[in-house]
Amino acid sequence: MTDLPDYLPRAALGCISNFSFLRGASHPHEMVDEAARLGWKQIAIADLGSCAGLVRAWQASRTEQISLICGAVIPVQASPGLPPLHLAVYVASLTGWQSLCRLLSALNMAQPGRASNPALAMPGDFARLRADTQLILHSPPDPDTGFFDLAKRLTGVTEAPLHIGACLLRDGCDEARLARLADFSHRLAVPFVALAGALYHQPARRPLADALTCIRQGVQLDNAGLVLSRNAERALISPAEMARRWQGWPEALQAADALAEKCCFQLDEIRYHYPEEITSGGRSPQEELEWQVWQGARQRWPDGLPPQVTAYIEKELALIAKLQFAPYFLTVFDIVRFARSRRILCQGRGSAANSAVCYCLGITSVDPARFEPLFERFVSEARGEPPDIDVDFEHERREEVIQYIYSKYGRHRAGLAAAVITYRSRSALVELAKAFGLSRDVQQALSAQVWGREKGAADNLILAAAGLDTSDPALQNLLKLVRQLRGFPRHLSQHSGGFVIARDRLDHLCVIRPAAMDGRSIIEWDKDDLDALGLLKVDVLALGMLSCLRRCFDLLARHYHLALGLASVPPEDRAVYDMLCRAESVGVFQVESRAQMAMLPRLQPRCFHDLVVQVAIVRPGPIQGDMVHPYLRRRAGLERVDYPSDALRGVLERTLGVPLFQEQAMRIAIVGAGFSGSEADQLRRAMASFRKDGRIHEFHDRMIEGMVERGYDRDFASRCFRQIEGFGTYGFPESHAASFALLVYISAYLKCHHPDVFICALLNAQPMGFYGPAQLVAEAKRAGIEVRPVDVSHSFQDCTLEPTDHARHALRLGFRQVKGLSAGEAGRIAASRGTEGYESLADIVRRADISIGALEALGRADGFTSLGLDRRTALWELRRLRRQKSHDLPLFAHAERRHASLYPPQAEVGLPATQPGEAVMLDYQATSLSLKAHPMRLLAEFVEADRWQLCSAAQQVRDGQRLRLIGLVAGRQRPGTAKGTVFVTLEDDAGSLNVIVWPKLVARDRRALLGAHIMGVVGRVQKQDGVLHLIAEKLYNGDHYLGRLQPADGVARPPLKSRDFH
Amino acid sequence: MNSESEDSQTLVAGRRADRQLVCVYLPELAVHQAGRAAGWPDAAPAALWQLQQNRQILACVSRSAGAAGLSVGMRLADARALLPEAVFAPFDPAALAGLLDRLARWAWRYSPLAGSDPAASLFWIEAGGASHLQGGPAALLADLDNRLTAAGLSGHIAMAPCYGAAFALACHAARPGQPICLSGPDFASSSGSLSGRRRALIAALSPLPVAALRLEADILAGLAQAGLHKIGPLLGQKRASLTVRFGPQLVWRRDQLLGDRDERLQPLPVEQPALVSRSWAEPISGPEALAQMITDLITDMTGLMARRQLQCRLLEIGWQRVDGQCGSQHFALSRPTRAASLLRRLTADLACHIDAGFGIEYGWARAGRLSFGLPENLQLDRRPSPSSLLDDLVDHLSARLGSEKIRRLQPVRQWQPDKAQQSLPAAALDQPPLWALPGPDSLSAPRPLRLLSPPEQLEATALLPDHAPRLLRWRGQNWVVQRASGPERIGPPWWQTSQPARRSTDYYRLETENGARLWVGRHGLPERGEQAEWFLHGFFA
Repeated sequence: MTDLPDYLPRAALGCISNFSFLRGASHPHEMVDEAARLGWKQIAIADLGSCAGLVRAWQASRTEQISLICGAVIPVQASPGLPPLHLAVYVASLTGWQSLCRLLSALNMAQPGRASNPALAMPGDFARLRADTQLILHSPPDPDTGFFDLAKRLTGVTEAPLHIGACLLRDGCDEARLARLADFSHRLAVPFVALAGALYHQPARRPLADALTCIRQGVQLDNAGLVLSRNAERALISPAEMARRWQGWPEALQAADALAEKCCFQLDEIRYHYPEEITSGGRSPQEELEWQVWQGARQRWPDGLPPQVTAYIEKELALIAKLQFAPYFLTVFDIVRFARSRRILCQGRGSAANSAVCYCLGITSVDPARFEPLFERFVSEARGEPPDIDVDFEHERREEVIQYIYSKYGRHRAGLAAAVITYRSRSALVELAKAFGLSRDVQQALSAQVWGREKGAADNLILAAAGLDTSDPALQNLLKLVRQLRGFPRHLSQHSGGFVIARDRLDHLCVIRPAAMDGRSIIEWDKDDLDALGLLKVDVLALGMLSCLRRCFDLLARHYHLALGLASVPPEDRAVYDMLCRAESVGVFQVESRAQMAMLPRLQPRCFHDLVVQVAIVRPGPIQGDMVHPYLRRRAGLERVDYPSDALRGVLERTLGVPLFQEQAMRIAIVGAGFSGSEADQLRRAMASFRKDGRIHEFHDRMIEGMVERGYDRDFASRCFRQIEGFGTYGFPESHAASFALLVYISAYLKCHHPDVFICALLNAQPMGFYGPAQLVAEAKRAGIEVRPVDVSHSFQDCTLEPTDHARHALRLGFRQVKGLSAGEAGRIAASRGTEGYESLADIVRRADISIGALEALGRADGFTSLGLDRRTALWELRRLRRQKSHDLPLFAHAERRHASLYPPQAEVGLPATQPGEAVMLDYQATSLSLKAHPMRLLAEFVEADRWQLCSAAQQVRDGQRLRLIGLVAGRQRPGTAKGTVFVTLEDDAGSLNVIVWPKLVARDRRALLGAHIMGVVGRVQKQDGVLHLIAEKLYNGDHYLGRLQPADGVARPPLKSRDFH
Repeated sequence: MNSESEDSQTLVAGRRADRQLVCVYLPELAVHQAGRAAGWPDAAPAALWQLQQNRQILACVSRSAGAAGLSVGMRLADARALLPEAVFAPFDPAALAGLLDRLARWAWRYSPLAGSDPAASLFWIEAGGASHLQGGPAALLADLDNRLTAAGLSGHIAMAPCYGAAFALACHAARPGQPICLSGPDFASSSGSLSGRRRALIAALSPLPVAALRLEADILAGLAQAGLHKIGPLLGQKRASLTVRFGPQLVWRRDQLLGDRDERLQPLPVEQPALVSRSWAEPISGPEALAQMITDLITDMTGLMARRQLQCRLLEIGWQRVDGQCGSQHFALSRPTRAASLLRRLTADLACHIDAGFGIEYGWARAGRLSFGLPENLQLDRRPSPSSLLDDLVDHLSARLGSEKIRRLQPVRQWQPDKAQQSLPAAALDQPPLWALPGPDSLSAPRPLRLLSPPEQLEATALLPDHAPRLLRWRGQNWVVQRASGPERIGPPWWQTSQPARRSTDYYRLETENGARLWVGRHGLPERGEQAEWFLHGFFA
């Protein structure tokens, strides 16, 4: 029996999302969708001290019959000593939005610290708010005179209308509380509003909310007690139920709706304006752009412009003028010009490479005359949104560029986009395990079983692998929550380099907050949010390979007197392609991964466009769309090249009738299935968005039916769709692949013709790429380069080249390889060395201002051989120096120097000699590599005694043979496309071997797979097109062999580190 | 063990050739002890772990676990992964130290000088001048080994002329069942001269790892770096060369190893019990005489405790009758004390309960659970504090009625009403937590002081979904509800169960027509389609 409600409310106020970190237990879109489903007309989401989740909520609200009220909750400190109270600020209009952003930004900037602690406000901070914002002071569970006083004070401070709000807690005191609040509101003459006050969208999320509380408070569920929620009543309820519960208080419901009605601000009212100070000589932005473009064109083609390029440029400029994007191009141009003036290498990536204008401005480096640019992919009239230019800079010098932007536009106008760091399987598991009170070793065992970003990792398999009882209800609850928590935002970090630059104050657009790094500020929205609102963003990205290439060019200039640059590397060199066809691509940009290496001999790249294909083909899109094998067959002439239709011939001609690039997939949707250009783009975005909702199916049916209607094969159509699915997140458009292919070619060229320079630069650019110093040094040795050890008399911080008798220089390892030696101390060792060099250890201590600890680090790396000291003697001597130094008193120090002769070096009794295995282990411990021998070579006799073969033995056997192979684990990789398959690289002194571990085996031998430094594999050799793999059937942990390398009573230490990628 | 402090009970060991130090190293003792307590099967692989720098590290490993690859110093998570079937438990150093002390005390059977080194899981005996009682050093070691083996312990036993050598040999050379003997007359005669004996000692010690020297980790690391893994090469190094690098400790330890430097050992002290007794020529009987006996014993005892600055938490009064029968009575105390008045009050009615038979001729008092206590200052205002009065009351009641019977309700910070309070023996509570009192204006839903346990089922008539009941029927009585407030909704502790459908409970405060004030709950929410069960959980005063 239900009473008829007096009044049916329309607006659910006072809700939060999981962007109130560790408080809200539902995503913004879950809140909005559920509210719409329950029949609410408006929902107000106000997160604690943040607007970060609003764009997502707003996007969700646009697809539902509900509108979003924007706001934020700000904790207010009524008076010192009292707990802060929550004041919600809701936005009525654009100016209200600006004042809210400004207020929050000011609070954030005034209180630098952890982003998870919302900034506290004082009542006076709200003085600037006007009637374009609506305030609700949330009642605490026990509203007392402090609450009343604060409300009274706020009415005096601000013009913005104040309300008192409360939600029902079902704690047995609801009636008393409402009566007291009604009394307060009466005495203050402010309206009393009913809040929905939802912390999560459904009651089933209460466990998660409790667990989040535990994480926030650092307590365990079992003893959290009253910290937890009493019940699951903070979920969204329907308007009818709300009306029933507030039966005695219809005026509170009406007041809530009255407030909501005033809040009609929507986020798309935010208008973005380009910065202005980018023109010179009184020109308009468009005039300035045209002037710069034609000037750049003349530099690019000193012998005159090719006519088709002129046509491109004119077409592009006309479109830019029409869409008024000139200021954007000029902004990017200005940044690139700055980088160039500082000799910072940079290159545009992504779709910008489709633009001849960008090439003329020097933003991109791929000659549009060399391949056909598709400007529509870059800027389209139909999409009506700003183009997206991503520019890569040397990763070590990007900070200079960032600081240039801040100094040019000021921190109040420029801010970095945020990156929303979300819970991954491992972080969710670790933090929840703590809340569940699992012991530390269980936590560690669990997290050790989770691989990076593994999806679906938290299942019984993991529990079993960690040796836990899968039927334990607590663990089952834990796993359920891990699944829910995965994907929740955890905190805001800074995006890798997306800058938003505003004409006026940035804090009128959005909320800004200080970044973790000094001198930086970030805005609260991430790149998807900015895209959704159409805010301009300039991506200032970091690319390690550019740093490496700059080092290469510097080294070439210094040691070989060759002046090369990105644009002046000789094109289409035969030897380079020969090298790539042999898959000798360790260190080469992009094509050094195992999958790429396996593809190179099959694809046999012979020209620049082949490299473009090579870069694009080993990507989720073509792989998921099953396009790789058809392409390879057609290329090898095993299959006839035909086209699904004449209409698609134009689209697919360049890739032998198989769609490989993102824009081709889009074109198929347009040409083949009759999508409009903007629909195709919507399709791609729907795929890419974090939230794969029901609309995908709509697109799926439309595309496939559309293609079938137009006479295409159904199977081809669904493959195309799967490909778009794959492209959604990881697609490479052709232009982007071209930008990368250029770097592939340049790095391959350097590796082919100047391997000494290339490996030296690569070592100095570490950490980077797939291979560690040990593999790179092995590669150098294979190329016949002499590698010289770290030495106190010859090394510098970075690796260097030293002249030899023959054409190639020798590679001298730098102090950077030595663990425990800081760059500053390494620098002082090199700087104080002078031309005369050091005589003894004491000499170094005297001349270089350096700690004994640093010298010991160098000693462990065996870096004193030029002084006639082996590792052992050096460390033995250093120990004496350390003790002397620590007992030094100033007076005695002086005396000691004067009477140095009184302390003659004592005749020493010899120390035992180092065994070879021990020396190699010590080398690895100190420098991660050894020039003396490969550990597997030293272990050969022991492993062979156990019927193992070293892993390079696989090179000599037939396809299909079964072997027992063992090697050092150089790396593990689990690509997202491989559906759980793990690739392991084993190495020995003769080379490396790729091992494929299918998911079933991953599950079974997980412990050996993730834990072993030396791995034994029983498996079958697979040889195909010159590509060699070992298909694993059983994995063994061979770490016990490491003990053989160490002296019998030595202290065993975990020795070697592999590089693992996810 | 390496304490340099002077103490009256310190044994100063000279360089006497007849010193016979026995070290018994029991590496598995802790895990053995834990296994016995917990009832693990003897052969089960087991290991104990402890926190070291916030990491869980294995501290003790059973033989079967060691054979399977576990070792001391390993991370617990690795060990679990390596050997999931093994039993793991936290290491209790105090328990191990206690056990080693007991073993050393047991070794008084061989010599009055014995002690333990819990950090090394070892106890030692100075058998010099005592071994002939067992038939010589070799016989002593064999006897020791046999007895330990019979007790299920595998001891690594070594005897040497100095502690350093015995320690090194026991921990790093001896095997169970094969004691090493490098001291005593047999050894002396077989090795000939003093220098010959020294050479034999060096030969025995040389192959041992330097870890046998009891050094700091930093020195060990330095020696390993230098390739000096064994004692042999280290003995060849010059003193100055070592001192200038490692400081004096290394050379001391090296000297102690060969007995060139004295080492002070701390043997177990012989405990003096806190015991007083009286005997009477004429057997006493009758309540007055017995009361006087108890009073006298307590006076003696408090005097003894005052002299030795002790306080006790346990008092035993014992007596022996002329017919030889003995009896005793124990009194537990909440706080350590030696106040005669308190002890007298506690024992006040003991005299009436002693069955003296034909009379008592001997009585004693023993104090237990002793702790150190300084003399108290005289209190000038003679009013005892209320809390100590309450403690005294609890002691009295507990002494009379049994400590389990006197209980106290404790608040527990939990939402579930039946878990929000807990009743504990009052004597066991050191500092009872306070019940939070609501402020005069604060909103809170009061609960009855005492809850019905278990709650009483009742029938109720209430409007759906969540209104308070209007009519109640309990034990045949009908109640009409006059006033009601609520609900207070309490959800289940969801994390303890896998059942998602654990139900919530709504609580209401009700006042009936005839003035009864009730706390009534409904288990299950009709709004979620659950079956509702009404119950009465308590009465308001």
